[in-house]
Amino acid sequence: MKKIKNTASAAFLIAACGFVFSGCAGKATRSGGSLTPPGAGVSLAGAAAYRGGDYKMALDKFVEALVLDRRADMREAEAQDLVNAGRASISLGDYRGAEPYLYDAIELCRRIKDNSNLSEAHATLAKGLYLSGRVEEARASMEKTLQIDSEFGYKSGARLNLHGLILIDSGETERAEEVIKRAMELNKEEKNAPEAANSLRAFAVLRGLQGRPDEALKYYKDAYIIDSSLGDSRKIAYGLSSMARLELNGGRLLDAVFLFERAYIVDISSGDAAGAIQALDQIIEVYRELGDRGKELEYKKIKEGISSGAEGKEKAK
Amino acid sequence: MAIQEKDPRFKNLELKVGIMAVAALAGIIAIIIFVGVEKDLFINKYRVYFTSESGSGFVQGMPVKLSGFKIGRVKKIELTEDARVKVIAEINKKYERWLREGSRARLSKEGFIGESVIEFTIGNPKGRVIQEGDMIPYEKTGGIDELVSQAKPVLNEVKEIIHYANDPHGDLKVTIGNLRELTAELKETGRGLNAAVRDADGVIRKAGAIVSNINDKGSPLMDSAAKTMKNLEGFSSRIDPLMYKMENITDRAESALGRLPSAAEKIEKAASNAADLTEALSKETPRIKTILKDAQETLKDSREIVRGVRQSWPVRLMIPPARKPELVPLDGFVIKKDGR
Repeated sequence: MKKIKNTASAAFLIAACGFVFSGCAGKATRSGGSLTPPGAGVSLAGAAAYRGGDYKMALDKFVEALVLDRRADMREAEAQDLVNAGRASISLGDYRGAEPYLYDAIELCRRIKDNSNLSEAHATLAKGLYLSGRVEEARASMEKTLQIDSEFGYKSGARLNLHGLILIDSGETERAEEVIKRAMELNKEEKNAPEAANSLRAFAVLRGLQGRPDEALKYYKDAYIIDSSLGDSRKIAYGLSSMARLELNGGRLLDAVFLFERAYIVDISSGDAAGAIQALDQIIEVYRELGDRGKELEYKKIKEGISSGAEGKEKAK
Repeated sequence: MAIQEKDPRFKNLELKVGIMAVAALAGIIAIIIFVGVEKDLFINKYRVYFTSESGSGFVQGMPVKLSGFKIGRVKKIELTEDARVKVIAEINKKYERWLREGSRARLSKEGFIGESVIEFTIGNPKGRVIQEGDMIPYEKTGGIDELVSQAKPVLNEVKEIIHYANDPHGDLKVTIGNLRELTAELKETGRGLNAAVRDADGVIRKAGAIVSNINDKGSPLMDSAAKTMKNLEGFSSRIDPLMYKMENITDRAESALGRLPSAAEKIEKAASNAADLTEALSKETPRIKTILKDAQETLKDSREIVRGVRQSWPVRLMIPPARKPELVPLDGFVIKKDGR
């Protein structure tokens, strides 16, 4: 009897502990359940649209999520929506339109001491300023980002890549090289393929400016391999055009025209009429240099067809 | 004894009994803990209170909400020494940062005739946090009775307007009558004018015949007189359509006025129906309220059961975690419009 009692007691204690620690009792705290931001679902839809390349829809969704989160006074979610709206505006080509969102985000993040989103907001603002040609302002914004990152230990290959490009345009090629190298190491460490391709591209631009075209070509090829695996048409076309220009400068006209033709095919397949026309201009120029009148005229006709189609669409708008 | 030693069913009997007892006890403990967690027994709470002149509408256990989100319950209702009602609410400690100086308590309904809840408002973000035992000022708000009492004067005013329009000695009817007389007079005037013009025309023709023998100096005068007559004719011919239009207007105004009494009757009927409806609705509200409350409780219990099952093991492991919104990628390379 005593043996039964001891065995039962021991088994009871072990099983009770086992049940409690295995979580059968259910969680006492629920993370993200009751206080999920009201704009969460809409924001996720916006992110999906952004990934699919529909930046207009993404912007609309982020603005909708912003309204919902502001209504519920969910400030962190609001900061995130503002940064996302800024990024969607930049992707749409509306660099000035992105600034109000980003300045609001910076102001809000300072108030609520959200340093992570503050760094993101400054970096996004730097990108918008850089794209609209205000390199010095972009640099100042980027410096703020880096200050926050170093203070709080944030790491981002994307921000380092962007910083590298801004430094290249500012003429600080040596510092740019260091920064892009760090970006490359970080991207490899984090297995961030898109940003690794960006780092390779940045190196290629740098080498091009330094008068080292063979190295630049190699970097563009490496970046192109990654872009092809990711299926980013814009960057694939950019890579092909860049390689073609290097081949052209090196006097290899046939290689150049082949690459321009590939760039044209990628642009036209992805609906980028402006990119396609740029590639066609280059093709026409090369065939003219090669003395191939037939091909030159053929591509001129194609260009006219695309140009009139693009004009018709503009008028219809 | 011999059977027990040989029979395999009795082998390790103590262990088997022990395991069964342990499993049963463990299950009971798990259920107790699970229910306790669901009922927030293990969560830190604190109490605040507010006072109201009347206790009607307050019920022990009714939810306390902030921005539509449940943060606690009414724990106790008692009468103070000065015959006011003191309502003590028990609030989940993790929401205390929103209850600050400036927060108010009020009794409100979910929807038009929904369940009553206590609603706390968010206070001044820079104000002092309300602590255990503190008082929150109470704000009285209106309900459906207030709506009905607001609607009644409006209905009375509508009735007055209808009576005013319908009054035969009122301004409106008198004005219409005057307008009718005016158009009749204008008609007469128009006819008179027409006749005068025709006469004038006849006279002028005769005069013209006489004057046509006079020398050329006279004829321009005649021409201009004839022109003037023509203008006068034109003017009188324009008066006729105007007369006609005025007649039409007065006819229409008359027929509209004729329809007004029946319209007024219908409006009166509708107004009294609306008053009856709101009265009936206010009487039926407690029953509808009870039905809605039961439905809500059932829905709430179902949700809690589903939530509990979702969070229990091993079901919890089969459900993927909900995705949280994230920042879209920054993309550290830019392609400028010139291609670089």
